[in-house]
Amino acid sequence: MSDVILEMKNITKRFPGVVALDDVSFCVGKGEIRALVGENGAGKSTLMKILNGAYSADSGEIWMHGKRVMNKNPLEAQHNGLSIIYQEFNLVPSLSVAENIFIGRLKQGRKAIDWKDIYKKAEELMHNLNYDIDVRETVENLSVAQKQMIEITKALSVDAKVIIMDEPSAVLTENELRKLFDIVLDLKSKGITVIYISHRLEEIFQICDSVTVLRDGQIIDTSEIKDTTKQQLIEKMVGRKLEQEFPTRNVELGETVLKVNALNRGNKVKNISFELRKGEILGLAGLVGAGRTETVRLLVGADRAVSGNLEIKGQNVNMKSPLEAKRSGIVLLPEDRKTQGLLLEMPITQNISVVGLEKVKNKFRLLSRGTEKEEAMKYFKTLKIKAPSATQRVSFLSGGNQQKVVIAKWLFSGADILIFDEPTRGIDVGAKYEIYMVMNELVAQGKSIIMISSDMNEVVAMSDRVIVMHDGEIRGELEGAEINPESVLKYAIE
Amino acid sequence: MIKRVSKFCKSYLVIVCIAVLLVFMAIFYPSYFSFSTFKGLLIQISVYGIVACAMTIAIIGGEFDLSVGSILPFSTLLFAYLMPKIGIFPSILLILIMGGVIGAVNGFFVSVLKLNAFIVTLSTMLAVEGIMLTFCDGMPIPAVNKATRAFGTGNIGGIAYIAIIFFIFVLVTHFVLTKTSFGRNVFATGGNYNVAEYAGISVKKIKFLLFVILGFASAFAGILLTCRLQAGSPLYGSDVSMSVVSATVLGGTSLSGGRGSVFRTFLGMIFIGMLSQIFTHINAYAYLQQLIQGAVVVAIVILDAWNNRKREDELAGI
Repeated sequence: MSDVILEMKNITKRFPGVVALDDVSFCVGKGEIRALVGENGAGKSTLMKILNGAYSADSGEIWMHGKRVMNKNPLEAQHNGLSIIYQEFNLVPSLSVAENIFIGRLKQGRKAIDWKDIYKKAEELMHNLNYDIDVRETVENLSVAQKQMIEITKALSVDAKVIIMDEPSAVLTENELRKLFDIVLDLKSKGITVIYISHRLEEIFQICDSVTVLRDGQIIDTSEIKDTTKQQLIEKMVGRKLEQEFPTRNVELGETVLKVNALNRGNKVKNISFELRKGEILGLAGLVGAGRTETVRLLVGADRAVSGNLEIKGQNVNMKSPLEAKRSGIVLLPEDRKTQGLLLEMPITQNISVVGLEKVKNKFRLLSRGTEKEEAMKYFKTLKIKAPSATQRVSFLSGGNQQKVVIAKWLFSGADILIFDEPTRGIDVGAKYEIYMVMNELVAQGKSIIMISSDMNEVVAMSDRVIVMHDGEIRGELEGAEINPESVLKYAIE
Repeated sequence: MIKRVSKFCKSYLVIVCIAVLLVFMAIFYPSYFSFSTFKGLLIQISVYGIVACAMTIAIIGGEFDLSVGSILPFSTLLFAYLMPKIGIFPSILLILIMGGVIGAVNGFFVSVLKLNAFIVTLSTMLAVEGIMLTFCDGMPIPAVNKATRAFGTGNIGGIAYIAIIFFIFVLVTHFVLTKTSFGRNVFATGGNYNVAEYAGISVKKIKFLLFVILGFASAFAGILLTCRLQAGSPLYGSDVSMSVVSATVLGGTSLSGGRGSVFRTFLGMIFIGMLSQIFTHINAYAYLQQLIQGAVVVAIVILDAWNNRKREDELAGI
């Protein structure tokens, strides 16, 4: 390894009741791209927060460029050459690119802001990185990938030597991902160290030099990427052997349950028609912004279609509201569980019963907590929800278990057609497998699933059939042996 | 044990505050402790308390209403004006309808047109105030009537009728919030509007009803106040919105919605009532009283926010 740029020595951090980091030592070299992997709760975010001063360690030292540093807050960490790019970005959407890059440093001394100078400097920075973004553009008009570029520009403008990227690819689609890889490799060529945190192991093998596995607050292993395999990494992350990434299933497809006829809404949804059969998992692939989420919102009445109609089990239905969709048995599990799927402050029981309060009423037509709990407990068994009790608040559950609560809710409503929007985003490897098992179980019981996913492997492995969308239209439909990453991508990017 | 006590204190800050007041009075003004102060306290908080019950439902549902501060005085004036002309019960009916209609206007703007509740209710507050001042020309109207007087000042075993009505309101509110689907849907809507909508709850209807309930409750509170004070005035109850919102928040009902209980609000009302009673008891200068009252409320809300943040940090860390 080349010169060491960042070293953490024997870092320990305790929270009430948990040791979040246990004597962690970690060291990266200049210009290295280091992957940091581990399940949710393994301690990755605590490690990051200690590095950038959001938390202070109980014991241990941090060294940068051979000097001991005390990062008391993120600003100080920045001065010491360490920047973090968070998944949800630290950008002000309503300000321009240049303002975002120089935010907090706009004013020099007593003089008024010299806008010409600011724009010029921002342009220079962009130019040096070969990014083609108008620095006067408002950030909210930019794509996710462009926002990432701005974050990187911002980091480099404060002379960052180490950039930590937290799940940079989670919101990117395949071709945006390639841009990100180019950017990261370019950083490497400039001698900048990148710590790359990701759940997607394929990426790590494509781009990283080395990988560190964290589990239960301890470093399990650090190895060169060429000396390890995906299988080995997963085993180290979960601490046991995993048989396979995707479970197999064998379900006979039944009759058509949903027929979508020429749905239209603006330029996001153009003339969409398809069918869904009983027991089928239909993959809906495409880039972010291809109109997939917009399409399924029409199916559940969250938005109104301008033209077109739906047939559910041969019945013509006019979807006016989610309430009507629920009654027709078609429901959406949104991509963002926390803001669209769950009542975080409420217990598991109430999150499930919210879709069918009628079913948990006693003979006086009042809500019964007992019945509510009984109903919830049924799903604890069938979905293997892990929680101390049925009345646990859902904000305390892990991502995988939260997703199961969302599934339980819709099963309780009696839905037959479930639309999963990014079912495993932000869920760790072990729990992903369980979600796939649940999906297989559901179709085996005669339910049907539409699955939107940006995870190519997931789409390819889980779908009976794949529809690829681009620019609001269906560009291709793949079935059986035709389903492979290349053909999906071909239709998706065109 | 210590841990449990500290957890209790954190989640029921208002009880600790009440205890502090009691200890302070026990040491410096033992004369405060008497049945008559207790009765006085109940009478003082009862009228606003009824509005506070409705406000608790609204805040749990993620909404907020300033217009109660003019619906209440307007209904005192209307009651004083109408009672001698059309009789007690017809005027009560009319006033309740008036409250419901104003609430419905608020509800329409907020739930259907999706305007910000703060702006909408501020506007209705000003509008109703304008109507009210035109109507009474800024002057109070006497409301002398034997029956209403007997009701407004009467009691059972020392507990005022009005206080008993307040207790009934608290119990009914609690029942509605915990045992009915309406109550549950209020929690869900306030907790997360999108999730509630996806779950098939008629979120617009829920939001609309929150304001209608508030309108009714404030009109009703105005009627009770008129009975007690034997007059209607544009000044009666004009500070009700601030009082009940602070009582609700002090009690621990989150302004962000989705969490809370009416018993907590009840305790919040007790605290606010005690505070002003104590000021009177120790003869504090009236304007100073307002300053201190404001400061105490801010202090408690800061403490509460701080506790919340610490809890979130711990959650995030684990």
